[in-house]
Amino acid sequence: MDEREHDQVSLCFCSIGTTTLAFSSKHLKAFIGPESNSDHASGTPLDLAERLALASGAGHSPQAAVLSFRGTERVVRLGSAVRLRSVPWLQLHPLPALVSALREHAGLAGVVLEGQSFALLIDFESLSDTRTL
Amino acid sequence: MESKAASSNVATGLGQLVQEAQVARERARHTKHDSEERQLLFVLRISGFLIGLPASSVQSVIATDPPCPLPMAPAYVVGLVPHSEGALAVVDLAHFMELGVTTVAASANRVVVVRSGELEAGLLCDQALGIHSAGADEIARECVVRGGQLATYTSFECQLALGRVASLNLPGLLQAMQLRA
Repeated sequence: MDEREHDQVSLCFCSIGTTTLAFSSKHLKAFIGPESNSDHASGTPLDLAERLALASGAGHSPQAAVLSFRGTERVVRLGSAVRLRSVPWLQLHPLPALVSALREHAGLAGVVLEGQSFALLIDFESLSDTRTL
Repeated sequence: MESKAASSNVATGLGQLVQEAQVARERARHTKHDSEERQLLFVLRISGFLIGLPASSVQSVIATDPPCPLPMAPAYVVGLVPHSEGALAVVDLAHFMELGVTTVAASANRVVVVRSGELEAGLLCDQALGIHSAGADEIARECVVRGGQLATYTSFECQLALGRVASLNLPGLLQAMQLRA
């Protein structure tokens, strides 16, 4: 049996509107809560909903966290509260070739597939501040 | 004399047999030629248009839940659905080819899964009408179906019992839909 079947990947899950996002827990440094606090990190907070052009839904009060990526720590508004969870490595899948360019445009590394539910896997290392599409 | 006549009869009989064999071979050759010229098309209906795809490119027809939308994707990319232990990109051809009426992903949940080389896609459709065969006499000399960008991606048209079918250049279509970095 392939030992990788037993491998688990530690991921953070959050939701923006109806879209579930996931990213590697290695980025997570601290939870902040609904109010972003610039004392935790330098620079302008990165609003993930705005960056990815995702509808936040009514009454949206984004939760924020301090994430470390590309050698710096940033406050990132993530949408819903973050849930930490380990999932089997085999549940991670690449984007279909037709839309694989979204890695560059939207920082999408792939998907986490659990039964019929999807989470879009965000690669913060390739997610730039500017929108290119 | 009798022997000569008998020999002649045999010769005539053999000649006839040879001729018949030749005719049979010709007929078989024509039949094979005809069958080679028949096009097997998978026909679907999108926004009122009958669209044909090479049947060999169609992998399956699936009914899905509404796709998971992809951030920053163009509007014709409806989203992803789970498929074959991975993710399948579902696209709306009506939107991509500007056919006028966009298929609503939530209500039209019939998806035709196609592949050409490395590119795979799920095509939203209103109806999947199955495989139909088009003979040489059914293939039209001119393309007359007009709608949005349909003519750009039409290889040929054929007149089937279902109606006029625009058969698409699937490799060209998928390459045109592929997002570029």
